[in-house]
Amino acid sequence: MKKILSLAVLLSFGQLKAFSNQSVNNSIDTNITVSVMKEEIEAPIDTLTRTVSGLMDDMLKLKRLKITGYVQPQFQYIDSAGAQSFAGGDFGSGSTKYTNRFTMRRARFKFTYTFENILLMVNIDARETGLAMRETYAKISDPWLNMVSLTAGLLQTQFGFELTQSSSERESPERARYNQILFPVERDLGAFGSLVVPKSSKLYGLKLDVGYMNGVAGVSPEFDSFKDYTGRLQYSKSLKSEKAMFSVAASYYNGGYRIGTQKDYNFNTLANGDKGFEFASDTANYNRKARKEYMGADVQTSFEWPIGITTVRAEYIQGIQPGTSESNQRANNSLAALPTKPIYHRQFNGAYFYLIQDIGTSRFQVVAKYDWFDPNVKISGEAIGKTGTGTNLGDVRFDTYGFGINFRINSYAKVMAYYDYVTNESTSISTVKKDLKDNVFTLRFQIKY
Amino acid sequence: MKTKSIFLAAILLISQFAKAQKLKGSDTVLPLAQKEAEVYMKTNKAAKLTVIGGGSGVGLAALIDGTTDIAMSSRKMKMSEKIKLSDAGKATKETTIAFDALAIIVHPSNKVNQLTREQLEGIFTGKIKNWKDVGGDDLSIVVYSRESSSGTYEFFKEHVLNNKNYASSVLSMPATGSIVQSISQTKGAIGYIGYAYVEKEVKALKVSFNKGKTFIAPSMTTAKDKSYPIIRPLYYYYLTSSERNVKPFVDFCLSAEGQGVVEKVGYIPLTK
Repeated sequence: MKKILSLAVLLSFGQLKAFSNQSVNNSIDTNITVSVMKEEIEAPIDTLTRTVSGLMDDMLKLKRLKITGYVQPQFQYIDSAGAQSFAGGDFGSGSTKYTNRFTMRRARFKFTYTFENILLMVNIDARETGLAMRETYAKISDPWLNMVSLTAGLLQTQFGFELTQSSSERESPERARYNQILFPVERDLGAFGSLVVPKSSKLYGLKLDVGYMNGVAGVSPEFDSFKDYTGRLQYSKSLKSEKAMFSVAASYYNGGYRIGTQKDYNFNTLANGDKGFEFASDTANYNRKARKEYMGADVQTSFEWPIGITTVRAEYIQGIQPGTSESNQRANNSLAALPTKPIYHRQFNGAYFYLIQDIGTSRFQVVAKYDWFDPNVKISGEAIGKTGTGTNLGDVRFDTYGFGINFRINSYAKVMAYYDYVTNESTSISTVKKDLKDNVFTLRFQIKY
Repeated sequence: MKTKSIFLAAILLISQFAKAQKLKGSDTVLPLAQKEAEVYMKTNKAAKLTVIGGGSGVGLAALIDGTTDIAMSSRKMKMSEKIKLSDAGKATKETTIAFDALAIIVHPSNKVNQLTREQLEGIFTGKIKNWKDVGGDDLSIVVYSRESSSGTYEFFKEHVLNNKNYASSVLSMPATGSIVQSISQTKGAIGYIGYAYVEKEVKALKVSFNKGKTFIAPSMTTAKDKSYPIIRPLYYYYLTSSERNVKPFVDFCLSAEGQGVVEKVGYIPLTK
């Protein structure tokens, strides 16, 4: 501090000298001159203080706005041209099919403005396919304990762990297949409230999120009056030694959309004894609700031991989902429209398991992941696609085994090499009589800022 | 001219900071690290050290972000912080630089001179509400604590309260200084502070962690020989990649001279 003051005094010396001469010429009383000089000596310091104070004010205002994000350019190779894939989308089709590609998988630019207990966030994804809105919301927290918050806008769906984990932090390139099918774009328009139990409470570690949403996914406008609601209750705890931590949670989702004039089918035992879909007799009762109900549980644990930090994650989900004959995704052709195809109601289940191992204290990390999605738990194998059952591609179970290695260059950059070995059950459907050639290799570079 | 001068001064100031090694984190470690840095810079003229507080969590977050060379901490690094560092491809080293004894303080007029751990637990969890229940006057107990974000808050909860929760009536204070001030002005008050902060305006109590068999007063001697039971280690965390740069200062803190500074400031030196 002394140095700054000395420097400021030295720098203002020239001005003082000029002022002094002027004072003498004007024959002003010496005492007054000295007094004025003192004031003048202090003036540059005051100016510096004022300027620094002004800069500090500006800095504090600027600090309210944060720009963060990440970009993920990647190269991928798939076993067969044009294959359908959940590793970042299908590899073309028809005359534009291909086996390999460079893509900008994600390029997120997140603007966060925080002022006291209010937070505004706009998250944009800029890819070769165009710009897309991601989370865009306003959040207000209680100013006393910072325990309760209410968030409204375009939000991440609060269900399970992987769905809400940032793609920049995930150790594998994509979310499990079931998450991509049941929660396309992973976001919805609505509001959710959060309750975080404070440290001083016996229940510290508990967190509750409750959401109420359009249920149409993403920024698409609402097309019916039905709303979806979701909840997640989580408990996290670390060991006193800080050598291990774990988290368990349960999630629930309930909602649906208007069926409109489409026919719908329920899964039953048919008259000939086969299991299959049968036309729902109340189809004439238009504008019914195609009901979605999911229940899930997830667990994560990390512990430190001589070979490095190990993380294990697992999540299981089951429920009912209205889809089409070809897919268990929602029956709407566009996200914000009434269904344009008949609806097939199925009971499903799915899960994923992660084993993530840091290699000592090196920058390398190895990852093994397994996930499955069985869109119709009541039928399997060659019974799928059998004539008269109405079963089709939307009933086929897929199991995915993933192996990868991550090289963390620094806080900002990471390289990921990952192989997805995808298997499906052999069915009676002509295109899925045996395992499809749809294994994918991904080489991704990520910069996070 | 003025603008240029200010700009020049600012540039020089920034360049000074840019060259300096930065220590950031625990407010408990802050006075010690400041003194260590001051003494170190006297004998190592080329060295520039900047010491900033903010709390253990702030220091460790700065280490993850790469905005400090050494994180000062009054608690162990959390598992979640270890994972973040690991995700950033960073390996760290932990060095214990001193110990801190926590003193239980009351108003000097309070006739109670000693408490057992069980009595402390009762007072801080709200079961014991009057000094007459622990041998004092018929006077309500006013309990002061640090804020829940403080490492000291967590340490006291774990080691003295056996992980039980503080009573909701406990008054949270943002800093040690405000606890000392409040207790010196409130007859029925009790709180905990680092031994280095004990002043004449407050009275430090003897404590017993063996159900009242022996009561030990906080002092440099009892803290050094570990007979005083409320002691915690203080840490420096730094990246292995920057070990070459920070080690001379860390080694100085661990040296006889550095440990002498620890004792002078009122903390407990490491015993060898």
